[in-house]
This record gives sequence, structure tokens and C-alpha cells, in this order.
Amino acid sequence: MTVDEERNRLTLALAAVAKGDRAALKTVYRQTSAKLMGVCLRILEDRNEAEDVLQETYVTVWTRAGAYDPERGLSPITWLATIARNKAIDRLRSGARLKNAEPIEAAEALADDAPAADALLSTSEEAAALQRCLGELEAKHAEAVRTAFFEGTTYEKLAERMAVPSGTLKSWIRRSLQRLRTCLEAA
Amino acid sequence: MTRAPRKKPTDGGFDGEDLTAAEYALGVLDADERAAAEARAETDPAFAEDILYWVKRFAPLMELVQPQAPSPALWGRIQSAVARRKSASAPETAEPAPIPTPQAANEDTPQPSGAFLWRAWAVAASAIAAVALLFIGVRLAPGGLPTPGPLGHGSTLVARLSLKETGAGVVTIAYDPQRATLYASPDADFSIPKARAAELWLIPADGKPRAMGAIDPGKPASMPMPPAFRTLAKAGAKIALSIEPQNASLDAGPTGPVIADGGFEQI
Repeated sequence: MTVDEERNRLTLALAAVAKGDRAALKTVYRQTSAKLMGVCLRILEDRNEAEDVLQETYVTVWTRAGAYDPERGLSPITWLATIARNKAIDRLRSGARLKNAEPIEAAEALADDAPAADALLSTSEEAAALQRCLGELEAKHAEAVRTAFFEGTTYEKLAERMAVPSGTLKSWIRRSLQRLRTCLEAA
Repeated sequence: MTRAPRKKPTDGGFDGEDLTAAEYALGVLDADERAAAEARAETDPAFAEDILYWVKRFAPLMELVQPQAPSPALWGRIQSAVARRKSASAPETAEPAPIPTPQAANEDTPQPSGAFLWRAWAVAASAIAAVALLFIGVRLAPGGLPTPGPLGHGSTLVARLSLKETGAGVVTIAYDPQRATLYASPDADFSIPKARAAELWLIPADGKPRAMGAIDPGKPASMPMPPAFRTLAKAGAKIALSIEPQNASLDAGPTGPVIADGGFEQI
């Protein structure tokens, strides 16, 4: 399937889910669960927790698919992944999180995205613009932005990870966000 | 009576720029800051738009995340979770009609309205809804049941207030029963004399006006609906705008002239 076909199929499936079509929910699940699992696993680093979040996400999709509005300019996969990502970040922030419940297959799930980040494969204009604008940031700053996005960490945790004072990290990221906005708007 | 909350000024952010929406979308805020941002997004359309802007901009990064197959058992768990709860949208029927929310449970299935008089409001409201749906359910305890019912156009009420003098539309009102929140979008100019306030009133079937809050020309506002009034907000209820002395007692109804009015319709 081309990207467009995939997108259309998913949009139609979501519309069917909104009408209570369970088979359509399965279509949505089949087409998106591996991506959503990847997103949640990067944040939670625990398969059980990531699957709990996935379950919540698809139950939410079941009850709220009608709220997906293609007119808002979010692709269906972005909509789904953002719901899952927000739930995962929320869980990461909540005390309910089990610590070190189960070590993940570190190599596959925590693989550094940096090499891939140099080559966003998508040909979409948005992807190209983001890649170019991230490329204009200082390497360390861009790394901080990417890590923050992939792992959903707070400023404090990210500062620890990158071994810089949290004030420094905060200003890296905020400056980067400002420069990204300027760069993306010029695109 | 509560006054309409004023739109918050930007918080100064970094070099005077408010970056909260970007920080929310990136995911660096702590739990309290996230909750505050979500609450703000529900009432501040510009802020909600800003979050959407950043969500879209960062979206290509998702492409870089390696897909990981969840365990084969997960689909079964989801199926039983779905089977345990009634779908908000009537699973076994072909009817696309949204199920009414608890607050609106005894109201008729809404019909889409062809009148887009409320477009200015609808645009803002849809930004809010689009963002709200990105974090729906997240505040529930793990395993908790989300509130049934679609976010909804379905059960939303709208009213268009027209100036009594000229008949010109002056304010669009929307009421979202799920959030028990009244949104006002004064989309045309009207003037308020000095030291006066423009107060919104809900006038339900019993004819007794209930004060909702004050609005300013050109400034969208949202106001929580007091619990006691929630069942009164339904199709057919009237909405009026009166000019009141500031700090007037509003318990007995409008003291000043009613300058505009309209009625709630379901969309």
C-alpha cells in the first residue's frame, strides 16, 4: 500500500469504528499496533506497561473514533500515535509506574535513533522541513530535542542523562523550539 | 456570580515567548505542568491551536520509531475490554447516531444543523476538541473506564444572540454538556458603557434567569456551568445578554437592559 492508500484506509476504518464496527477496529489495530507499541516502548521501556497503554488507547479509539477529524490536518496514524504517546507519558509521570518491572530487549527497543534521524525517509514536505530545521540546530541541542520526543522525559531527567545542569538543558530546548518555529515557518 | 475567566497572558516563557504548547507537544513538562496545559487547552482556542501546530510539526519523528510487535495476546485483551463496555456508538447497529451523554440522556438524537452562523465559534471549538481528544482518558487511573459518549458535536448546544435593536448577530454561545462548560464567542462589536459589564443569562423553561458570567466584546470566553444549572441547559432554553452595573447583585435576574438574546439549538 502506498502512504496515501494506507492513510485513506485508516481514515475509513476509523469512520467505521465510530459507527460501532468491531471488524474495523481490528483493521485499525492490525495496521497501527506495531507502530504504537514502538512509540510506547521507547517511553516506558517495559513491554507490559506499553501493552497496558496500548489497550487503553484502542479502547479509547473504540469509544472516541468519531472525534477523529481528518479536516484538522492530523493524519490518522499521527492522531493514534499521539493519543498513545500522551497516555504513555502520563503513565511515565505517574507514581503508578512499576520500576524495572521487566528488562526490555535493550538492543532493539533502545537502539539509538541518531543514524536514522539523519535520514528521515519520508518524502513528505513536513518531514523534509523538520529534518532540515533540526539540522540547523547545534548537534547537541538537536539530540536533546529528539531524545525528549522519543523518550518523553522531563527536563530534569533529560539533564541528568545528558550530564548538564537542568537550567542549561532547558535553555537548549527552549532556544531550539524558538529556532525550529522560525525555521519551519520560513519553510 | 462568577465572572468569565480572563484569558491568561502568556507566562513570559523564554525571552518573553510562551513555549508551553511546544513543550507540551515535545513531552518535557512534568505531571503538574502537563495537567495545567491540558486544562488550558480546553478553554483557550489559540493555545489549543498552538499545541496542534507542534504535534503536526513533530509528527514526522514518529516515522523513525522502530515498530515493535505487541504480544499476540494483546488483541484478545482489547477485544474483551471492548466487549465489556458498551460502545459509545451502539456497536451492533448500523446507526451512526451518537449516543447522548448522561447529562443529555433524555434528549432527542441531534440533527446536523445546516446553519453555520456559528462558524466563528465552531472553528475555535474544533481546535479545542481536536486537542482535547489527544489526551482524552489520560487522567483516569490505569484500568479506569472513560466516560461513555463521543466528544461531541452531537450533544453540543449552540445559540446565536442577536441584538434586539438591529437584529444583527452579536455573540455565539456553545454549551458542551460533557465538560459542563459554556463557551462564548462575541464575534461582532457591541459596546459596553463605562463601569458596566455585559452579563450572559440562561433562561430555561421556568423563565427564571440564571447568571452565567460576563463577557467582553471580541474576546472568546469559557465559563463552567454550575452543577445546579446543568440540567437546565437544553434545546429551547433562552440565552440573553444584559448590561449590568459592575458588581451588581445578579441573584434576582437582570437589573439592566437586555440588549441581545437567542435560543439554544442542538447541533
